[in-house]
Amino acid sequence: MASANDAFTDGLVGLLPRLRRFALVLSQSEPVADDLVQAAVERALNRRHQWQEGSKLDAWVFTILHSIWRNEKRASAIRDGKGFFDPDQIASPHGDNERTILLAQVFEQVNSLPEAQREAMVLVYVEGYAYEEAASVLGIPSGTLMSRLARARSALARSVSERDDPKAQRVNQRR
Amino acid sequence: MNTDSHPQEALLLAYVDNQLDAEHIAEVEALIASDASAAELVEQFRSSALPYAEAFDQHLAEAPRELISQIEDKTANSSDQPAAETRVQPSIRRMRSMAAVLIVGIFLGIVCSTILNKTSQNAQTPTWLAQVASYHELYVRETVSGSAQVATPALAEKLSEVLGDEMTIPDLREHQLEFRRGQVLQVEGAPLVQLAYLPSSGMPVALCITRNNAGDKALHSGVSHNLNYASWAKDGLSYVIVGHIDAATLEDAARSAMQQLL
Repeated sequence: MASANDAFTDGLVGLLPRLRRFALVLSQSEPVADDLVQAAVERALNRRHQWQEGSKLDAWVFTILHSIWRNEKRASAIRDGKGFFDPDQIASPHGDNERTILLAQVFEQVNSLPEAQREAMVLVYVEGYAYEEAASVLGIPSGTLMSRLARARSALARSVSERDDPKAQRVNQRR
Repeated sequence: MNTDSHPQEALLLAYVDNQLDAEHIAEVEALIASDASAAELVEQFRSSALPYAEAFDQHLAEAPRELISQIEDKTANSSDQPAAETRVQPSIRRMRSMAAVLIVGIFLGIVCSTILNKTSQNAQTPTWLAQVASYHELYVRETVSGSAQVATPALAEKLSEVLGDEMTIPDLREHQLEFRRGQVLQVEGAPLVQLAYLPSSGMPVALCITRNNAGDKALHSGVSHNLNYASWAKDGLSYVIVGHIDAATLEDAARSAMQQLL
């Protein structure tokens, strides 16, 4: 029992930064993200008997957090209006070298995607989940996940070509 | 650039993501050779193979130490299930009472005398207020210290819409409580406006307002979940200020808030 608790505790504590980052991707608001993480931690603690040692704690807690967002917090966040949140809350890292600028652009472009696409992108390409695992966290079929990833990747490809080639931007605007 | 969905887009994406076995790789390469739109889509996917993990790793922040302590304490005491207040959901109640062990230890000096004085009032704590206290108990300084929302008329207007009544954001700086953020939560199916204030040191304080159409109630104090609170109700709205702060200061702040909210 003690070892299961230790593994659970260490795992949950270690997950907090990643949980908060995912909560921020979902809600795009620091106060909402903080509440979401607290609610997810609370529920994980209450249901820790449901977690089996040896299974992936991170996917389990990510699923809980996403479920709370989807079923409880998202509606009120939307109902209360996006204008309620400070749009500058997601700050870009400071710096002016080429790599830093690229990373900031990537971060902003992913966060500009529709919610369904950006949550899929982050689970697969940031958190490193296999397609099936990410689909399971989001509670959607794998095919739907792949479709969302493909949409997102195409949109990001267009952003890249617009950034690199102003002429391409004009062509795309006509479409 | 073709933006229509390709019937094999999933396969093509998995190819670019290096997620295919040899057999499927051969299948995709044959497709690319014979289907221009497939080749174009693969090119798109390749051009958007960006350093996503690195970009997002810039935004990993350390978790607040207090939240870590709470988790460790709760899991370490998982076999203990001391009796706790009624009216809160049983599973939540267990966790709260474990958290209380930690918090009582830290705030023993502040809280003890208040508990002794006011235990009798706990039984009368309304459900919504107990839920607010229960929720606030999880808050640590870092929960709100990162926020610095300004009490603008636009924010007040937004919160007024939620409550269906005109409201202002009380200025409690004379009680050393600085406004940090406003947000909307839900209690008993009704919106709850939560205004978080941060003292110069110590744990945050929250002023919460909900429309539950309870009758008017004069300012009264109590303890719920080991947190002091001061509450009142007027014109269908119920108010509470709750936090790890001495009862006298809390009541003074509540009186200021009452005057400003009129």
